Amino acid sequence: MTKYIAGSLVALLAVGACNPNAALRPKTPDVVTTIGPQSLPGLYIGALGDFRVAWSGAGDQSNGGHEGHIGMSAIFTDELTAANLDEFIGRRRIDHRVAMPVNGQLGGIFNDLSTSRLSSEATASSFRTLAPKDLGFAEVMVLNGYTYVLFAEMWCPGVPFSELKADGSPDYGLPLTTGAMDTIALRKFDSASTLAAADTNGVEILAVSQLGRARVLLDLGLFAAAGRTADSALVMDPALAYQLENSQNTTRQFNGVWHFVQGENDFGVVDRKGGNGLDFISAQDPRILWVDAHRFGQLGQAAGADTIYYQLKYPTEDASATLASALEATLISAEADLRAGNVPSWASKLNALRAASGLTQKFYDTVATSPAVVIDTIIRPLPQLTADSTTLAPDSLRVEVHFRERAFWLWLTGTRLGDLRRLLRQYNGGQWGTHNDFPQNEPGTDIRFPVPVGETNNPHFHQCLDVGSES
Amino acid sequence: MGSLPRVLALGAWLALGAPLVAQSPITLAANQGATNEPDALNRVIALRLEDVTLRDALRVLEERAGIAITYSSDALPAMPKVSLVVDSITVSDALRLLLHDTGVEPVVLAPNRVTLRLVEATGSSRAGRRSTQSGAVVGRVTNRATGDPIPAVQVVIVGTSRSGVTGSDGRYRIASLEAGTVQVRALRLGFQPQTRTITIADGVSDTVDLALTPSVVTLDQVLVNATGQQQRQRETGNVVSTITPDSVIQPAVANFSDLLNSRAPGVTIVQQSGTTGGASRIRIRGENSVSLNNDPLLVIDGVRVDNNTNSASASMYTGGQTVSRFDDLDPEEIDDVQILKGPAASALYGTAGANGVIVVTTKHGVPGRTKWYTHAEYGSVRNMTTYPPNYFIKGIGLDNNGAEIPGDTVPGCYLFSKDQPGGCDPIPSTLIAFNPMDAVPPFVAGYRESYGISAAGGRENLTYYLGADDYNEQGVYINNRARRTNLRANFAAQLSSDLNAAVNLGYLQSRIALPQNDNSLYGVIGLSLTGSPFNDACHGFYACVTPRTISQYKSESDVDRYTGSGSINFHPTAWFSGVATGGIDFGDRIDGNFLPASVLPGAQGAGLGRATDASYQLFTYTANLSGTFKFNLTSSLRSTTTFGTQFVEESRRGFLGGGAGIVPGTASLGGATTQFTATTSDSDIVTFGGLGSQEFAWRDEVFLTGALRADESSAFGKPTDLVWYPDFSASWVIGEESWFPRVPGVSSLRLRGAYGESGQRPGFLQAQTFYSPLAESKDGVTRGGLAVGGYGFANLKPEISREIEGGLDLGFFKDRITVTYTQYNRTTDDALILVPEAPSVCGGCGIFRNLGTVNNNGFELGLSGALIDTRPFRFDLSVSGSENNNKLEKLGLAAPAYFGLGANGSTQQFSAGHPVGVYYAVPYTYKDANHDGIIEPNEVTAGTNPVYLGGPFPKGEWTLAPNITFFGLIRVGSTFDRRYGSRALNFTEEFRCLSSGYCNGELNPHASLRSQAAVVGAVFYSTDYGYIENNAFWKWRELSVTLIAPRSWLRQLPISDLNIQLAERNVATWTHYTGFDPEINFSSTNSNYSTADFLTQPPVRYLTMRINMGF
Repeated sequence: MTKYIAGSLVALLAVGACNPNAALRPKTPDVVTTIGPQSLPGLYIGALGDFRVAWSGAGDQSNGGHEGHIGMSAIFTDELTAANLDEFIGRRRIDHRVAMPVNGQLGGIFNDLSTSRLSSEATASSFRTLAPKDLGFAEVMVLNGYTYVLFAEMWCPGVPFSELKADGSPDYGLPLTTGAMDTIALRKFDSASTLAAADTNGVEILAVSQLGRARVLLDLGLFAAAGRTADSALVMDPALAYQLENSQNTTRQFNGVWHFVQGENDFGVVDRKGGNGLDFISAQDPRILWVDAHRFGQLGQAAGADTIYYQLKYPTEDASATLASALEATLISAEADLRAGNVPSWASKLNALRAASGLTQKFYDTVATSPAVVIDTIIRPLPQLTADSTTLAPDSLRVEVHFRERAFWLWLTGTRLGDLRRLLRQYNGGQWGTHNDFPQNEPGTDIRFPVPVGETNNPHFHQCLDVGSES
Repeated sequence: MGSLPRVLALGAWLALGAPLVAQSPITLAANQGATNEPDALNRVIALRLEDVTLRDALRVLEERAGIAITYSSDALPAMPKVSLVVDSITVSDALRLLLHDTGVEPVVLAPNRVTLRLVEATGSSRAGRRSTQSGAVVGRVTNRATGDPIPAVQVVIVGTSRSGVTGSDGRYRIASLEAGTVQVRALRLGFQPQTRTITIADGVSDTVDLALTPSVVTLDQVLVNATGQQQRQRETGNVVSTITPDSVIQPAVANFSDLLNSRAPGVTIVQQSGTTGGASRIRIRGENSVSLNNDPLLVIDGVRVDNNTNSASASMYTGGQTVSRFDDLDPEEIDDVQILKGPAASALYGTAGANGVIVVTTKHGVPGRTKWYTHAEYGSVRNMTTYPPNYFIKGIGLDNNGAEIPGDTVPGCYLFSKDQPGGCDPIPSTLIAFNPMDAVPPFVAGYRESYGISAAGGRENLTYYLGADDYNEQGVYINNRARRTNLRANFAAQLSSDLNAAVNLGYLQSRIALPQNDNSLYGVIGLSLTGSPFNDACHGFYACVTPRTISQYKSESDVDRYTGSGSINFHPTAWFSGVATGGIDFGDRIDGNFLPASVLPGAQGAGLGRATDASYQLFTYTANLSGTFKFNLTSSLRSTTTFGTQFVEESRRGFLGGGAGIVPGTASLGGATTQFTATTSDSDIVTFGGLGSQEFAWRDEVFLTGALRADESSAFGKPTDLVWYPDFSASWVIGEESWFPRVPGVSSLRLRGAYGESGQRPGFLQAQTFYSPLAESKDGVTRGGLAVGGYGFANLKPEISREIEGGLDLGFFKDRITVTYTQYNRTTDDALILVPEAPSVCGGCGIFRNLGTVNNNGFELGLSGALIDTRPFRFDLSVSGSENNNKLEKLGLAAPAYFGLGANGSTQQFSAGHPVGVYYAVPYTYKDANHDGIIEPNEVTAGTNPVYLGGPFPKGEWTLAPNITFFGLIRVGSTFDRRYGSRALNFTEEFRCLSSGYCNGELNPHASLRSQAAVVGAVFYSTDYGYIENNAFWKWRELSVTLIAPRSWLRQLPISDLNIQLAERNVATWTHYTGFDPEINFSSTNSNYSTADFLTQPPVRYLTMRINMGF
């Protein structure tokens, strides 16, 4: 019997004495936990993707929607409208211009933009340590700068910028005014410019960083400096068109605008929203490409279905989206001229853009018909602006013309909200449309996205700062 | 093997012809305290001796009787064990019973002094006795409540060692009895003992059938603790609820969740939907954890198994409902379910047992003839909810002064626009109400069927149980099915006198198809309720997607699951026993999701068609090893010491592939043209635990236990520091004390108390920041990238739950009526909060931190008994209930954390000082000031700040279960549930009003003022207040009728048992909640604290008939 007892005790001791640490080391084949030089290409690509999702959206709805800043600001500023078929109340509320901190869809895009900021900063930090001369370092710095631009242009003053310490505990940031956000953006673009200038292949990135800088200066009301910087970007790369690429490979890589319009029938092009919105459809302008979705038989034809006008700026899910272009640089340059009183130069630059565009005007029926009929297309060049609307026009009309040109040229690029805010702040007026399609909407001055309620977990945060903090 | 036969077998160990006691007598210590009572041997005592050595038994007898027993150390063997469980027996009878067939007999030396001596070297006296015994007793023991036979009942002839044990058919036989009057007593744990007096005549077999009444107070019920060792209920200081499926009307339950529902106080099962195959939420004593799973641990036959109630949530795309692995269990093959309700009971389960433990023991064979059981069941499954129509009304336009504009007809006039400048006045005569479900009924005639057969039997050294069951249920949607096939083979072997082993093998094949509903654009309920009020070409269905169309959307989960366990019990000495248990639970799960091309509108997006295929292999390995040392420190004080180790590994391998642009006519991913998805999800979590416990038992009446468990785990992404979980328990069966006063009617009383700690860990890698791969295009080429997959806090540790409980078990009228009362208080410190970090910190990530404190306290009360028990009529009543106060004492965040649905933002929050997940909203009042039957915006007065409205889970729940039996042949049973003290969000109606705009409160002038005010509140005052409702309810959960075939009918047939059961489930609901059902929840994936109804299929009604036969 003794042997049984001894055997049992030995077995117990054997189990107890074995070192469990080997088994307690988890296997992690699916993830990366340690960053090294081999991780840099992946981090770089990841940073590009994070910015793209935040800016132009994506189709990965299983991760929260990803309407992107382009899409959400588009329905907020009446570049698009939320369709009646859109079942997401949060988006319909933004469309109705009821923007509350608790809005889940707003929270989603704020999260995406924050993720992009942190991702690009972390990637930049890795580059700084592991490959400081890599051009990718400059590129992620540019994207990092653009995240601050989007925060400043679209979100109310009071956005904090926090960090996560190495142990995973937060280092909460203080709320910043819009001007402070712009200042950080400038610093980022300056750093990117320095890095890109040191690389012989860095011309495009250098031009993008300059254009980003010009955009910030414009936001700050430093028109002359903005114009000079934009001009320098044009000199560096006259054909500048920095694009974020999309793909039909995975839903995350979809063009977000396409996804929420053509893919999901949630958004559509809108005309004169609220009565005084811009005439994106009826202007029949070749810069605003759209089509009546019913022609394609996309929607149910009976009651309960909706009429949606599909945008054609991004006609497919893999259409790339242009973040920075020579076109935008020219518009900034032109605005600097306008502000400097050099009206002929301003008008000349706007007309030069029109003449050089090569765009043709296409006409579509605005009445939904069923079944689909052949689309009638009449082609003619984009006309020049007349003297009545430029050189002979009063100042207020010039401003209106200029911002209309920006609205049409930069349609669905996430600039309209910043422009409307600039109109109020820098031009003391605006084209902020009213709504009459939902009873509780009141046109007002709330033309910015409030920082989502989740930020209240930051003890330093106190919601939007006063309007005066915008600069 | 029964206990008394072991008494009879004692003689085999006696060394016949051993020296007489006079040569070397031993006087036991208890002798010193012997009383001077002259007639001590005639004193009546109670004895509860089970599986103890004869010497130990004699020590207890000395103690109880106050006598001294002396005998030679050579006269009695050490090894044999005896059992004797009697409520009243004389000391002399007890001695005779214990010494029967040992060749030793007591000799009285003095009134309080007995010596033992060998009687005959040849045993001839025993042979002589047998020659005078000629009668016999035969009979059958059944459950009085169900009429079913009870196996393994000890039937003893009181005052003798004669006994028998019932077989699987409940039959027994005791032969060789002397003629005369005897008492026949039946004993079985879980039942009240029953005694019958009969007169035996020479050469006659008398028949004595006994019907035992189940007893709730089961002090000697055997429990299996975390070490695999057996322990009696009386030894533990905590309450353990036991559910025996055989006592439940089987056709009233469809799955394991139904089996648990309303059967034990403090155990809450929330039926989240009427979706066939959908999961239920299981909570024990409230909610422990803010962010971690609150599901209890599941242990089957000693091994840990997958207890995921949200299985397949990420890869089935149903909109909300998911599959629960709990429901893989087949109630038919379960012997009993023991529920450890919290750390006070489950500390030895370590970093896993904080939410309680459900310990399942599957059926085993009983020695005897092979007993066959078979059943067949069939029934209907019906939708019982009336869905509301969509409304439309025209109005007369109003000018800016609120005056009607003649001839200005406004299509679609909201009620709240009445009298409003620029609004419209509804024209009641133009009201249209149309329900798309009337035009195209989406529901099918569901059914359920179940067939099963089992065989059990064996010999003393090898028993077996073999079972096969098939369950098939067609839900009320054509694409909603659940089929479950269970096979089981259990074997137990007595390998030697000190070694036995058991092997338990279970196989499950599950095929479940779930419909779209809840938070899905393509659910039938959503398509109807957010459709239009016109019977147009689309029959009013949203986006022209009809039920027939959407039924082509398939979400399926196929599981093949193998659960195997083996155990070895080793008893080499009287003072040491060892248990080794090992097993594996392996689930091979394949989830599929398929939407054909061109089914949904649009040539892009969903119109392309989509398919995903996900394959998971889930392994749970368990290995337990423990040793127990038992010593009698004195004649009254017993020590039991246990050491053990435990190893658990939970391993998961998963792959998900998906794509869109499916080739028409196929469901294959092979033709997918876009939206490719390919992800892997692998994880491994290992837990090592060591444990030790020390129990002291005083006279089998007072028990004090201390235990300690230590754990290390890899769950956080790295080995954690050692975590310690102590446990203390005290139990005092005070009613058995000799000095305890005899209170008329009170038959038993036990006081108990326990304290314990247990833990819970977060999921894989949650203490680490890591990057996950993704694809991204650059320069026209798809490249691999890395993005943060999760953030983690490095200094994470398990959250610790500490629980103290105390209570009493009372039996009345020989335990015919029993009462169990327990008060508990459980606090979870270092509660792991998934901190919804400020977006600026990490983009809206959640990071686990040990920040919070959660408290649950309350009481549980169980009352059960036969209030009337006459031969023609019997009335049993069971009342059980509990109240739980849940409170988030500390959150540790700068601001409340918001979550949940709501048109105006999240309606639930984690906020210190309130129940976890409390509802809140800006309140309002309303009054139809102008008495026009319409609530206008200015007739609603809203507050300024949100107020707390109540927690999401019931504070109280009570179950009333009456059963009436007529002549033992007809039994009618029912279960009523009452739950109260909670809130739910009727998001179905809110979403409908704010999304489609065709809802009752918005357009129907006959709508209640309350529903109109809710719309006004949501639209004009941005508050969800009107849709956060009190969801207290009464439910008539079950109704059943059982017809039992009289035995006289069966004598002509080769059938031993036959009964027919009719049962209805979800009979009726009474509630003020205005949604479809007060219990349902839209999403299993958000099931921790969400109680929102969002286009969810309410419970369906089951009407089932079942035939049970035994051969």
